[in-house]
Amino acid sequence: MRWPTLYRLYGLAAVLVSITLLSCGCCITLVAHALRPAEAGFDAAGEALRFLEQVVGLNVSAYDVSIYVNEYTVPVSHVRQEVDVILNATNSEVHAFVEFVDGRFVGHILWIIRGAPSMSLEYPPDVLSAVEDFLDRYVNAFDAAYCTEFIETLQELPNLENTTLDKGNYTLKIEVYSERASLTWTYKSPSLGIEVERKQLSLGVMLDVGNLVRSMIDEWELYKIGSEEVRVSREEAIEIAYETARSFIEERGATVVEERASLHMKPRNDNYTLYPVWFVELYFDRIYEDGIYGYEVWVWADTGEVMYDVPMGMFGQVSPSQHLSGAILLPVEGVVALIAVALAVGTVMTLHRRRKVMARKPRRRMR
Amino acid sequence: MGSSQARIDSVYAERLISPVYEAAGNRMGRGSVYAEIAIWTLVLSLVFIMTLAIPTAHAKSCIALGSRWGVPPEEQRADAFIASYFTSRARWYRGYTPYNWYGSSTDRYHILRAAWGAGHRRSLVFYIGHGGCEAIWKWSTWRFEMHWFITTDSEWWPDKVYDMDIYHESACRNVRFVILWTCHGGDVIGGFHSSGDPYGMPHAWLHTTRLSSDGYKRPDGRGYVFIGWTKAAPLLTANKGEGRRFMYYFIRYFFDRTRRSVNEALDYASRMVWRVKCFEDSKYYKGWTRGWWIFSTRFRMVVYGDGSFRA
Repeated sequence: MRWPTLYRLYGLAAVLVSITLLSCGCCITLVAHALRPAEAGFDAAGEALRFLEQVVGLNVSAYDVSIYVNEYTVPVSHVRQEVDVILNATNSEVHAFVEFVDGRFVGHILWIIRGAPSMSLEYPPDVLSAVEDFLDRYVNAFDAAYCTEFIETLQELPNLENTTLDKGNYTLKIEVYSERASLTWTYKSPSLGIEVERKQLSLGVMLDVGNLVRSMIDEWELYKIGSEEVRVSREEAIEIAYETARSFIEERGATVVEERASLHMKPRNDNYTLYPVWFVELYFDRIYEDGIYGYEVWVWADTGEVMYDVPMGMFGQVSPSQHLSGAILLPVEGVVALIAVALAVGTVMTLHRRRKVMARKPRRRMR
Repeated sequence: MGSSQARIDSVYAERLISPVYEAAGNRMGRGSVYAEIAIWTLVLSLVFIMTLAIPTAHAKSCIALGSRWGVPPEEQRADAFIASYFTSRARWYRGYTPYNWYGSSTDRYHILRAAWGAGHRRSLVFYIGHGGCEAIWKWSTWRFEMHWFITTDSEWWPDKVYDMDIYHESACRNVRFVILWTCHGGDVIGGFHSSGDPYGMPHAWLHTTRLSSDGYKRPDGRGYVFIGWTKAAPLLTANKGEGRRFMYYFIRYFFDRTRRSVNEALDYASRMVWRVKCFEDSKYYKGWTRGWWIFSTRFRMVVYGDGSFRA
């Protein structure tokens, strides 16, 4: 082989090797970007495993562990990290999802895919004690001192049953089902007198899997109250809603027959700061063919600005069919109406017959 | 000596080589060449067909359908976004062949094509639009029988595609997963009427009635799942766009690199939208009533079949 040919071959090989290396580099960068195992300053994957081991009590070392971290930016400049943990062993598979916002734990959920989970901690047979122990571990491992007050509310309860306790600035709601129990502490706004659903601590317990705390949401400290001041009254909010919906109502020729307004707390610019908002529903006189039956308007209760407005409706109420032209069609309401008419006619006829029979019978004379 | 040796060599060479050529020349007439070409053409064609057939036989498709009839403009935008997100996410994360037929392509032909997975062995279908149920008179049995339908895209009154029409196209059972975001779609699992006509949307799409009545709590593990609504289905934009967000998060988690199940994606979406612990605690699973007096309507999402299904 001549030298120039050899040089050409070497050159080609070099180009091929560079392309391969470049593409590998790009792939690794992409994968590393997508699966970021540890963010600078906060190790979400490590914290997730620590939570599963120290608080939930899973024996993580008994499993092959795969971890994926997704990171999102939430308005305004909050960092939300979602950790997917896949725990796989010969006779057990558990999937876990753990969430963090700005490095703060906000929740988890477990899915038992196969077999019984391998545990390093034993949960007490009494559900309330199991929840208390869980919260104790959480307070110690994740520095959540505010939960100690919630632990005390559990100590007041004689046993686990459906109940709602009003503790002034928060409520405790317990729901018990055959296989699970749910305990939720929700912040109650003292000035508005409403429950702020987002500001909560919530636990889901699997009664059929040794009182395992399957899921938790802790957003008590995450959500801040931006304002509890209501400057727009209920009547004013309804008026604003009418103004917003006017053109839609007029185009349709609809009549509003009922209006409802309820107060809520929702985030505005910052995803984790709450402000009061009126949710106004205007109901029309009927459900139209396209399923529209009203209009909803969300009005900020502190500024009077409209946050969101759309027609209220559903994917039903369609015109008669054109497909089965030979068939006789009857809508469900028609069938119900026919049955009702038949029953009414039957009742009337029966009553009429009875009356006739009674009229034919000779009356007893009074002695 | 030298010349005689050269002659012997050439004779040997002739003996060694020429008989082969001769024999070959005798065997390979013009006809044999044609035969060989034909055989090679056949082999190459078979290889070509196999390369086409193998991916088709194992291919996966995700199909999004949606009727714009009677849908407000902002709702149309939300529906179109979700339909597009469904197909693109399934394509990029799970390798499904996408068919986004939202809008004018949602006609009778494409709905029925979706019922057999557009020819793919494993298919996922999402439909959004108006639907309902009505009693149809059957002359054969001399009685009314209930049938469920979805609608085509139309500017005027839409065409209705009934459960029995879909059932006749789904015999191949290619469709494994259906989300039917329409009123009444999940009222019943279905079966056969006394006239012999099939009824019920889950039955029609999945071509089976062997589906768990609560696929979320009790997944049947058979690999077929239907998600729909009993009675009314809300608009995606309703209640501050919670339906849109629910579907967005569901799709995002379901078509992920970690291959999540339907149940896991439902739990995830419920957490993201309402901040509840799981789907069982969500508004969609528990159901709610909206409206007033006789116009009040019950909304509830149902999962039939196998909640442990993974895309």
